[in-house]
Amino acid sequence: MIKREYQAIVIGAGHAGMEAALALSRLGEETLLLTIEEKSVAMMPCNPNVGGTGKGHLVREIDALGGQMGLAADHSLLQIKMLNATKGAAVQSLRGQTDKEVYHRYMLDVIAHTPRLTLTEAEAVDLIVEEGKVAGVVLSTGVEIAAHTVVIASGVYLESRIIRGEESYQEGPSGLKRASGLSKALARLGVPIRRFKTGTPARIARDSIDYSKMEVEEGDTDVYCFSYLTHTKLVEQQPCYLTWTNERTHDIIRANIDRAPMYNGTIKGVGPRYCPSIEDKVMRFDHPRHQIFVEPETLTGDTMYIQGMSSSLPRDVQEQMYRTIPGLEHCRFVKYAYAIEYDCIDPLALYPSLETKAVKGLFTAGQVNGSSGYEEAAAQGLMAGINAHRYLEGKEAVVLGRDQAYIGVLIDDLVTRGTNEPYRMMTARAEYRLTLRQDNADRRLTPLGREIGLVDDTRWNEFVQKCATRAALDAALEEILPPKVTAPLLQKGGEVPKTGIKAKDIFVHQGVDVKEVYALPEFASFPYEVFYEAAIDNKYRGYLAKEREMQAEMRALEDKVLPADIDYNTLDNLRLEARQKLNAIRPRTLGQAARISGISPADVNVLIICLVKRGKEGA
Amino acid sequence: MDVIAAIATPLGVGAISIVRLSGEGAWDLVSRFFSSKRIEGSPTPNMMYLGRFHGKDFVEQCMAVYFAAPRSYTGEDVVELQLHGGVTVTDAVLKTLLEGGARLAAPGEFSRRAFFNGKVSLSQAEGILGVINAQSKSQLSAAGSLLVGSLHRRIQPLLDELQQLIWLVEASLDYPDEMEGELDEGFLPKLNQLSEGLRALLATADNGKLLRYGVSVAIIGSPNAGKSSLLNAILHEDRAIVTDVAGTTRDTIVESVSVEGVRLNLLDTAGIRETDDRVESIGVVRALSAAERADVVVYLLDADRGETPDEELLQRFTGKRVKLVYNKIDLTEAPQGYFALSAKTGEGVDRLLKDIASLVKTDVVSEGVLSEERHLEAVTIASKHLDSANSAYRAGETLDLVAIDLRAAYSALGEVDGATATDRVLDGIFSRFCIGK
Repeated sequence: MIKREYQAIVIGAGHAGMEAALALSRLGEETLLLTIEEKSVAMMPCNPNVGGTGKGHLVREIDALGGQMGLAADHSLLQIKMLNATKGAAVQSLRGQTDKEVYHRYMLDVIAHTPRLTLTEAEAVDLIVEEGKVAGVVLSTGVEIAAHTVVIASGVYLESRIIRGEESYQEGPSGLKRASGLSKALARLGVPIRRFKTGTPARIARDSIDYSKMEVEEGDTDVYCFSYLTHTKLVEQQPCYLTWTNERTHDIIRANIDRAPMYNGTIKGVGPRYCPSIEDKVMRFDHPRHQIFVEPETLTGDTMYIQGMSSSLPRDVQEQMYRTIPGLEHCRFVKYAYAIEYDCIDPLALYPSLETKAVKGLFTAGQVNGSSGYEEAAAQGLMAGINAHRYLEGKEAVVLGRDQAYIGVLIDDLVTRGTNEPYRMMTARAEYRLTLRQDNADRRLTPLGREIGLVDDTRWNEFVQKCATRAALDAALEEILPPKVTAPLLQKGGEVPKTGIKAKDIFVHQGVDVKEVYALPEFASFPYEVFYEAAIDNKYRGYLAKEREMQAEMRALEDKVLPADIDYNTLDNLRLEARQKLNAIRPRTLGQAARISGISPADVNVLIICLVKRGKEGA
Repeated sequence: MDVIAAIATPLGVGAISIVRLSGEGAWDLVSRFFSSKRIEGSPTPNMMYLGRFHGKDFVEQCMAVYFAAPRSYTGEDVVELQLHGGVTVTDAVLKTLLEGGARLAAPGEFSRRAFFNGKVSLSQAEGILGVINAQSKSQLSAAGSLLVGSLHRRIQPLLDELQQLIWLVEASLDYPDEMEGELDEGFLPKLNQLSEGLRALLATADNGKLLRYGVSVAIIGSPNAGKSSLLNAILHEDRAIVTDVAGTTRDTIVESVSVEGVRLNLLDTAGIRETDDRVESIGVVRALSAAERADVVVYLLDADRGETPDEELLQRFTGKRVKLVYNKIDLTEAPQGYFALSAKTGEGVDRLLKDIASLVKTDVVSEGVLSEERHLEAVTIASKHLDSANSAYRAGETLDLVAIDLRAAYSALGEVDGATATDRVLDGIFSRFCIGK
């Protein structure tokens, strides 16, 4: 029985589902957003922060394209830090501590004020597919809802299981209901299903912690925002705290390691290496101590997040080991740490548009694709939403290049190389790290966001204004500064200028502090953000030119679209392994083919020639 | 696209060899070394010009053709240099162009560019496929050889060390909280050690070339020392396989013989006969400079005249393998402790050849050597990038820039062993450091 018809349905209202649903409805689609419980809308079931290395870049990019995450994070900010401040502009990332409650309520409010978007508490258990195209979903109540496109953003809820020592529950995160049925439906439709796991540390009552035994970690004195649209700055920042484990902690863990599900075989899912449990760290590394960060979950609430103490050990062991840590001797547990095991799909089953290869119009985004992290989820959600809309419109999908955005790197990695563990963004994954900076995300992506239709007039006008300011600044930077002016700037690098130097060239010199140059009266009228970006562009000029050369080569491969109907098995000159891989992954372009693991440059050359032959013979 | 260059003809065979360049500015690059009286300003496309190629220490008469984009094989600006077929000269021209800014083309790269510019016909496609297949086959067989095996053994530890450095840097960039302070100690010494290792590897590069192209042997000596007789004696030696090698204006190779698997290219130093003339005489200069570039110099002395080595002449060959040989022991006894032979009777000639061959062979077999131009270039590039990482780090440059040089070094060096960087880097980070929360 079909109850209602929508243009689009988004399953799951976490960080991926939120962006997908907002993008779809903002682009004009009547959209239904399904959530298992209202509580789980834009929930942060793990760490209470947004951003981090690589992830901060993602948030800036989502914002530049017209997504919501940056604004939501700014709205709920408790503390802000620019990571890697001294290590160079290319690797600087923002990380903000956020108020989970405020974040959740803010997103509910955004949903309420978005036309064409309906939020409903319901569980999708099956998909309706007609002639290879998705046609709707079936709810657990048996109700069928029709739609022309569906985005699955089910996070870690599919057939999830919470494990803590000997305890095990069929539950979603934070005691919420899990979703059953959907992964069976996906498997039936030919999408390969896998099992991953992750974990979260305990939440401790705020008033049971002795902060005097910990180091205070303050936010930055320079206050930044995630969104290009946020102009109000955080006034009062909340501190975090740093403490360490010790040999007593480690002894307790070692003595009880046979009760850890990861070690006794209870958990079979694959966990992320970058997010190891404390028992993992102790067993694998012989360090005398491990860092523990204590972070506020909300401004007004009473719980603290114990970063670094994720565990699947039983409650009694958790109590013992947490209480060995300076400052936590008398801690009270509000929630115990747990591991969670869940179903996700093999992202090789996706096109770079995030549409499944098995079912037309069916998109997936977020943790269900084998990624981890709020930011990675939101980035995929945004792109899945955009492409679901374009699918409805019959337009070509938007696929961001690896030289265009971290979002492009993230999605390309997932759909081309696949992943054997929950995938986390890292700057090390980006080839063009100097091009993909967090400061220039708007210049990289806002024009595209405008074209897509997600950048509204306010954002666009601000961007155009900023570009004009930058043009004026570039002209000002052509001025020659006399030695008298440059001498103090060059002093740190041990240089004594004899002749005048063009302002834009000063950044290339060793030891020049951008802020000191900015302090010159010539630049007083320019906003610092714009000045900083220009300074970095000039400082990195030579390196950026090199990156552009590499990009041109990659682009040449990327522009060659492979025929969709090709049977690689018929290309006799290709090695068997290459033929099998190409048939399985069906890359969209030559560039994507070249990045498949196990495809060598020689294979690509053979492929090129085979294609030429095929074209010429066929003609 | 940047300018790529490669030798387009099989090495060591044929009367001419072709060095081909493709990319924007290919002619500008060539014109820095090539001059022809007939070119005024820019060359006419598709015209063949006779001219001279001026290398650092050689001049080669050759032909050059310029094909203007898009009417060329690759669809880009293409220049072809037709040289005398000698291996050494072809190699020297290529090297000059590489040092001048061209990049050594990857296998199939010309064809790849041709493809991207829509220039490949069906018959060409068939041909290219054959070349690629042949290349991978020869690479396969090369990979199995002792030589590459030992080279690999020497590069692998360097690659491992470089990887560890990259792990350290990338981990401290992506995990600033956990890795705080980890980089400070040990980074620079490790970097220095690695640079040293690469330099040592590069120093063996010449040996690799010896094995591939053969060993050039110059026989010098005063007139009447018996150079020609020795040459004849060598060529009439039964066990020596004599092949014709096209002469080049530069190396003046006349003959080449194979001794115990090592090819010896004998250089004609007839010019030295004119030593009685003015020292500036072109012939002498050419002969001497040919000898200077040779891998082994046989300095022939006349035992009968009681000749002693000319110290001034010897100094010109400092650092080279010079073998002092007394000739004419059929007439008189040679001074004690010197290698002696008789070109006339043939006594000792065989032993001389074996000595020269083993001189080179010992080096080749005992060490891993860079046998391929590509490997040589990879290690050279890696070494340059490491130096630049080193100076950037010491100058207090930010770590993101240091990382670029390290990554570039890794991708260059990785080409030798075919490693793909990203996966290994990430794997290393996770297995080595306790990071993540």
